[in-house]
Amino acid sequence: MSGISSPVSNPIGVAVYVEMRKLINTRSSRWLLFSMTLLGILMIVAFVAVSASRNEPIDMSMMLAALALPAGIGAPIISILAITSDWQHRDNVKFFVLQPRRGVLLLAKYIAVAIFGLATMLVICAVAFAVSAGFSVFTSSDIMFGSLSRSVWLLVCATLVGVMSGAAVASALLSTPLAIVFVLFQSFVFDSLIGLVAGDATPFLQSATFTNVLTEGGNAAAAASSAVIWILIPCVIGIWRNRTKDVV
Amino acid sequence: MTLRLDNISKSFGNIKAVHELSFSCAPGTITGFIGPNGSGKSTTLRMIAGLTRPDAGSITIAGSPFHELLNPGEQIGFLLDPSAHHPGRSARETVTLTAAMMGLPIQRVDAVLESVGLASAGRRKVRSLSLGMRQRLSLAIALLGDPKYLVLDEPANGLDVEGMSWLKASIRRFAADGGAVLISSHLLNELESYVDRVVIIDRGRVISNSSIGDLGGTEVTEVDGPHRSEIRRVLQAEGIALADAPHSANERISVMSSPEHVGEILWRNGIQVSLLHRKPLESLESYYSELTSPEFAAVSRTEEGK
Repeated sequence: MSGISSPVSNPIGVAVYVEMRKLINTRSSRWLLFSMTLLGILMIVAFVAVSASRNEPIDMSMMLAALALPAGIGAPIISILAITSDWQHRDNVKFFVLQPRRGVLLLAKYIAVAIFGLATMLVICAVAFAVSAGFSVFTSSDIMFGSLSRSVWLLVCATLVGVMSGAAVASALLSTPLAIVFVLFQSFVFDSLIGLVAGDATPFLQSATFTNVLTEGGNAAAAASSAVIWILIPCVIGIWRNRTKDVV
Repeated sequence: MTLRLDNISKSFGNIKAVHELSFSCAPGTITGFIGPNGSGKSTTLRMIAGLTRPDAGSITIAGSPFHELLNPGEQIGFLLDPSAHHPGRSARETVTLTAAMMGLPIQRVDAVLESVGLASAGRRKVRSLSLGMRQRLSLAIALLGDPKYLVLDEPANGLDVEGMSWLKASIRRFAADGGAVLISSHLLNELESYVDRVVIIDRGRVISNSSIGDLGGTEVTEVDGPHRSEIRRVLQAEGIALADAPHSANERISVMSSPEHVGEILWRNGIQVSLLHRKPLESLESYYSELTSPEFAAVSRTEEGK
């Protein structure tokens, strides 16, 4: 027996490392990552092919902006799976015993999925540049960069907001299927239907407003309201539930 | 330097799972923790692990509450649920993640897998492991941090004969090295052969807490007469513990005392007796059977209030 208990030198760093590792050490997580990357690459190839068929230069800025759509859908799903996995598989029986400060574990999950989402986007951007450059050399067509920084910013925002909203909802609901249904309903049903009944209040209630204002500017109060409703409140509920829920 | 539970209580809705439960486990000892299904054993062990919060009372490990331990895995190891591992991870990866959380070197992973006999199964996914192998994996995780305390919930489930002997030897060795073990099990004959103390709970309450050597000296008397309720009332008023909660008014009464003492009390109170019989207690199992109710044991608040 050790006799002396030594603290883990950097508990949050260690927990982030473990969470990052958990994101890629199962077959299902690797398949999800592969599917996301494949979807991104297919979009890139399709974009390049359409540009070539029209004899137009490849617009990198537009290509990256188009990638924000799968990022906005895929990022919440990845974070939902990461946040709820321990509860679904009862792995928290093990990890809560090793780190009784459950808030540290939840924060580590948030950080891990954010890093993971951004890294995935970075890879897809790199692939986009590589495919475009290769195609350009092969067909002697031009590459247009346009407002590249704006498109990269859009991609980063879509990814980070997607990760955070997925993580917040997942930590509040603690159920993979419930959280996925909630996020899909929020994105594809609620945001559309609320416009029919809420009138001028619509941007204050829509979940997409926060990302839209961050990337294109607009009503800051509406963005704050959207962030509070769809990220902050679920996040606070999630922190409270994760810290207090009995593992039975 | 003990694991101490002081008056802990826990309810789920109107079900009182654990009620003012107290006991402790000292270094170098193995404490058996037994009780019927639903008596509150697993809830108690989960409260020690901080997975479930007690409504009242305190639990300390070497004087500190669990949540204040710097690196809990180096103080106390738990085997609570052999199925609580992601089925898609390999056995080795499962232990590696645990080691990373505890800041332990990777060499420790191989050493502990070797010690529980899973070195050759390290690459296998958890879903492909038998229950016995998952028990060994869980024990590997419990032992990983070289802790001073072990809390084991039904660790023998799914183990074969060789596995049982190995488990028993491992637990004995751990205690001999100065560790404290708290182990719950339904295999009473097995448990009796290696525990030092036994805590029996029923309906969320400790009904016996004694060293295994003292069990032999316990006397149980079966008593009967035409006025059973009067016999119960008088004996309880005299501080004699009923060995078993009566399940119907027609059952004979068992009490934790000698026939001589019981007879003297009933004679003094003028109560007619038709049977006064010393029941032999030859084993932990017979002692346990005398003390506990055979029914599903959790008791509701409303039931308790009657």
